[in-house]
Amino acid sequence: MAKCPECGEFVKLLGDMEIGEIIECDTCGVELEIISLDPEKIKIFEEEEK
Amino acid sequence: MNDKIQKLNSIIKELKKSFTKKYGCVIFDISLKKLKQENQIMLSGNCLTAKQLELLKKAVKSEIEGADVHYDIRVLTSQSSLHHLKCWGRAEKFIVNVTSDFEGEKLSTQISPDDNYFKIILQKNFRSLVQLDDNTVGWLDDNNIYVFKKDLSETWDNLNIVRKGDVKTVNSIASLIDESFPYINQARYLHGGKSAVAIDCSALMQTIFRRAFGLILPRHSLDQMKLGIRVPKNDLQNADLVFARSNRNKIMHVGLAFFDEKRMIIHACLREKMVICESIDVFFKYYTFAGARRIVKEEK
Repeated sequence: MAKCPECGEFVKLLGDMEIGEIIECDTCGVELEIISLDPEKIKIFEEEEK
Repeated sequence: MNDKIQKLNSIIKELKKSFTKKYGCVIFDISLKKLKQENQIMLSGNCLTAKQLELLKKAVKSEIEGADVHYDIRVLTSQSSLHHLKCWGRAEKFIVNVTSDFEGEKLSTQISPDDNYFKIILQKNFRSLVQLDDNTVGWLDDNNIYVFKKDLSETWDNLNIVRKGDVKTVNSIASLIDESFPYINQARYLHGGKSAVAIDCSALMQTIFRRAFGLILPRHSLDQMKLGIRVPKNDLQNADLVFARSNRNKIMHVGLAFFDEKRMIIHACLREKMVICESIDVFFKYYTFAGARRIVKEEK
């Protein structure tokens, strides 16, 4: 479990997820990037301007 | 309390300024009133997009502590507001540019006469601010469109929009691949482009899913990434949407898994400046996997 930096709720990372994968926080809907699997770490994903 | 009201007014003013700069118009008419109960404030009025309302709520949450703020704000481009606007349009020319700015410099997408009717939100100096059926909001030249003064909202009532959790059953996934073939090595990459001549990655996915199955996908890859169901990288199948980030930047990219005899991916490639079909192994030399979604499955 990792904590959403936006709302503080726990986000469950699945066993088949990859570093770099973008997931959505079920509570606040913010996009999160998986930066580490062990320990589980996520950060808010902000897309660069095209 | 007066400090909070002053701060709220300043937030509204600043947001209105930034939205005006972005869209070239000022549909962000929010008024503020104190409610009878202490510390309660009501914000009411109209804004253009759900994103604007979200940004307002976020700014209020982070900057105003201890105030109980209530909202009665109508989002003009939300589905529930559709029937309030009676002016509709359709592209008259083969390729009509829709830009995110009033001046017409930042290409947002392109439309053609084959596309659905769009909603005209306002008209100013021979330019129209429109909302397309995929929810894109942008400006276009009035001389490129037909305007219908009657209510055509029923054309939007039965749109086959793909949402989170949806996996649509289709007759044959092959038709999706067939729709993409005319673009391969033919259409060049153009950010914001959406035509047979020039197209970007998310528009290519929008176009082929629409032509093959009549499905409507959002315009941006980050929004397409929320559709259907999640697929792990090691379980990719034909017709899955594969999302990735360029190794050089954080721009989201999308392609279509084409797993016939070989594991390939069809995508509008910025590197090659073309729509190409390449091996997924080569693809992942340049991009980092960011997720995959399944939105269609074949009927058994």
